[in-house]
Parts: sequence; structure tokens; C-alpha cells
Amino acid sequence: MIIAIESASSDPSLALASTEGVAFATDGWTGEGRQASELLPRLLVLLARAGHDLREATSLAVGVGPGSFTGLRVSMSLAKGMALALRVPVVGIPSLEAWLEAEPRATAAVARAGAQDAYLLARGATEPQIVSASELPGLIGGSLIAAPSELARAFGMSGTVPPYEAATAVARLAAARLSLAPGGDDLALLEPWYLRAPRGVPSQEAVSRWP
Amino acid sequence: MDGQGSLSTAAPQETRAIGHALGSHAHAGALVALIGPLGAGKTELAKGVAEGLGVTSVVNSPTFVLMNEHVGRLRLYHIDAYRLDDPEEALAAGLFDDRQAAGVAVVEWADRLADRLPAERLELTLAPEPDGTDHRRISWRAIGAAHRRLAAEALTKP
Repeated sequence: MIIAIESASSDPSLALASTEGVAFATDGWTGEGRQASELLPRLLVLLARAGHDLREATSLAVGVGPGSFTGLRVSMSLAKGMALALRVPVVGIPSLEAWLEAEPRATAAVARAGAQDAYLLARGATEPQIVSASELPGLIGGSLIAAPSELARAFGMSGTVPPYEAATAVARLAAARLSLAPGGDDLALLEPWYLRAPRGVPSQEAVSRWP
Repeated sequence: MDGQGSLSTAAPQETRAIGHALGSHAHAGALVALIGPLGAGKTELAKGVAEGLGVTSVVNSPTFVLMNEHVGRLRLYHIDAYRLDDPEEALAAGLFDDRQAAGVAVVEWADRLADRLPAERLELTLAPEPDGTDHRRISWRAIGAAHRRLAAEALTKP
């Protein structure tokens, strides 16, 4: 059984899947940015309802971002902690790739990058880019976008679908990775993916300089 | 799209009062970037912002902890970039988390973050006057509509 966790936004999700990556129990919800108190209890409920036990996990799959700083740290800690304790592999999957995989109709995935910007992964692109709230409408047009409900509200985006099925896609993509590399990722080296491009807006007067 | 201006203060209390006005008018997502040498009044101004937000806990310079969080009308994120070795560390340390969209961030030594600082902000540069007194010249620059509105309400009204 693969346990998949995706919390790059305030719309986190969980999935239990077969080792082939087919999900048989899933959960996705709009939280209040309290992944630390939401993820584990919800996972235990999901396991209990499906009649499974944590110890049956053969691997942990986790979305690595980019996205919410704290959300990613919580899910990464949880996945790595369980993988360490259960002595099973852990696999990191790019979150926005999973969001797009989970919603085939979406042409792009958009996550929050701090207070003012967003990460945008267009379908077919290899890397997310960082865009400001004002640039976003021109880039996404009127098409369906995978984006957390909180961000859609804050940035005034319409035609969005929350990534409630993201963990299902994380499990599927992780199964594919594990079939090629059964050991998964290095437990010690796997970390959240924080992507940040320079803004190109320099401070007006630089009083203190780097030595 | 910049709004800018300049103020002068004759005593630390006056610098603090400017912070108070900013805290009183600050919107969710406001970012106040403070630039100036040691002793210029950055923390004094930050304390004023906290007062204006109705923060009752003690506000100290978060030089060693990098960021303090205070509860007020809006949550205050008080950041000090002085000890960062590289602007990249600000990101790794989570100094610009998404929660700040719902609060107010005050960043001391903001120039040390160079272009990693979020684009929309109210930037205040505090410069001691050369006469060795407590007089300060505070020049400001507001980027983005919300921050220009904040500057207009808090800095340009008599």
C-alpha cells in the first residue's frame, strides 16, 4: 500500500493506493492552513475506514511543492517520519505536476508563492514560473485552472478547481517512479522544493551592502 | 506607479508615531520595509506599527530569531534580515510565508534581502541627520495600489 500526502496549499489531500498506484481511499478538503493538526488525524481516519493499518504501508509518496512553505514542511516531515519508522521508501513528486495529472481538463496549475505571487505550471511546461497576481489573468486566460480555493478568492480567479485529488495523482506518479527505482528518494536529502526567482525590483537606497 | 515622499522626525517618539499611523491604517497583506543604519529608529518604528495594530505583547528586535509573530487587529510578522548571510536564506527560513497575506509584515534591514523582497511594499529609509542629534529624515516609496493608499492615509495626512 502506498500512502500519499499532498499539502502544497490549504487544500490538502491524502490517498491510499495499491502498489500499482491505484487509489482505493482518498480525502481532499479545504483546510485553514493548519496541516500540522489536520493531516495525521485525517490519515488515521482514512486508514481505519478503509480497514487498513499504517504498518501495511510499502512506501510513502509526498508532494514536494512548490507551494505553501509551512504546508510543505508539515507533509514532508510526516512522510519522512513515517518512512523512517516503517523502514519503507519515500518518493517526492512535484506538486503542481500532480495537480495537473489529477485534473485532466485543467490547462495550468497555480499555487501560492508567498503573499503576493503565484507559482504557475502550464500544461506541457517542464518548470513552474513565478508570476504576480496582476500578471496571472493574462497568462491563464479563461481556461480551467487547478488552484486552491483560498488563492482563487484572493487573486480573483474564476474557473478554478481545487486540487482535492492531488494525492491520488501523487500515488500514481510515485508508483511509476518506484517501478523504475524501487529504493525511492534519499530519505536524508529529500526536501521541499521552494522556487523563487529574483523580482527585479531593487531597493531604492542600499544602505547596507553585502561584504 | 510609485508614490513617494519624505518626512522628518526630531525624536524617537515621533518615529514611533509614524509607525503607529502605519499600523492603524495597515491592510491585510501590507509589507513595511525598513532600511537604515544601526540606531536609525527601525525598531522604534516597528514598535509603533505594533501599537497601531493593537499588539499588546512586547516587541523587540528579532535579530536572533529572525522573525517574531504578534497578535493584534491583524497578525504582525516582525522580521529582521540583519543576520542573514544571503538573501536566499530568507526564503529557506520561511520569512515570506503565505500567511503574511492575511497579516502585516515589517522587515528591518530590508535592503539585505535585495530582490527577494516581495514587489509590492511600503519602503521607508531612515537616515540620521549629520548633526548628531535625534533628528531623522525618513524617505518613503510605496509600490502597488494598496501600499500607495496606505502611504496616503498614514504618511501624507497632517
